[in-house]
Amino acid sequence: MVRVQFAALCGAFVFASGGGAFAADHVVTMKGAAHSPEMVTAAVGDTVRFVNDDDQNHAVFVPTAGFALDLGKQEPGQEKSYVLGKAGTFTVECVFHSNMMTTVEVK
Amino acid sequence: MRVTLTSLTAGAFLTLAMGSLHADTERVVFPAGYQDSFVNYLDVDHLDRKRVRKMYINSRAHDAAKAGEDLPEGTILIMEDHNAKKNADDTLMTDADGRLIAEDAVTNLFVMEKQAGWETDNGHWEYAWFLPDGSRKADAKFEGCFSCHANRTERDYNFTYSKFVSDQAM
Repeated sequence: MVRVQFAALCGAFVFASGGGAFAADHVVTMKGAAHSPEMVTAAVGDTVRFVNDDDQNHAVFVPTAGFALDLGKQEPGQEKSYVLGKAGTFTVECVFHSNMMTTVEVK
Repeated sequence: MRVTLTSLTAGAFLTLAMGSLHADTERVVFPAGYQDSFVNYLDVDHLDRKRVRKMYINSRAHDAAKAGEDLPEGTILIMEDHNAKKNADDTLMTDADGRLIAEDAVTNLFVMEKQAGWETDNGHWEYAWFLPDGSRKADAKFEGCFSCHANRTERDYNFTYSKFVSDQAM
């Protein structure tokens, strides 16, 4: 019995180490013409969800070389997601509001 | 003499009545040979529109910016649109880093150019829209360009190049 339980635990560990099984979700909220949080630390394979909880349009834009991205306009209540494909650090901005920023560090 | 003065006055009134100072797109000339002579400093994945946007700047302006100068008069920034490649199931194809892969064909070319004496809603910048054959897009509208780029006055009205330079300096 103990031998079977130990084998099952090892199997679970291998499954987890294979990646993807425990990819995390990180939520960035847009409200009051600001991003929250302003810093996200994540892992490759994680998803960042941008939620417009504001009463005006926003648009996620990343100008950082190697990560540059445009998710397009988000109306109030809309949510858009992006899966982090590689390690590095990039800045998330809003096309319409230059003061809205979040730094994402991907390990 | 009286006729001339009347004509000048009428012309000035008409100019003011037309509204804000923008959209003399004819001033921007198609940048022939840019793919060979300009610097492709950034590629932007536009997931919303399933496109890859290749960003270019002319070498003279790039050299000035790298030397720490402001973008000079004569700066030309280009946004070259490509459709993103798709898989057989119509999902977007990506590389090992999760980045979109551009099809070879250029679909549209958007140019912004800065020249002394060009007084517009965006400083000295003017915009143009060209098709891959170098012809101008008929009936193109530029109010969207001016209003959106006005959100980045602190970067001399550009979204990516000034940030690219400042990031390189860090």
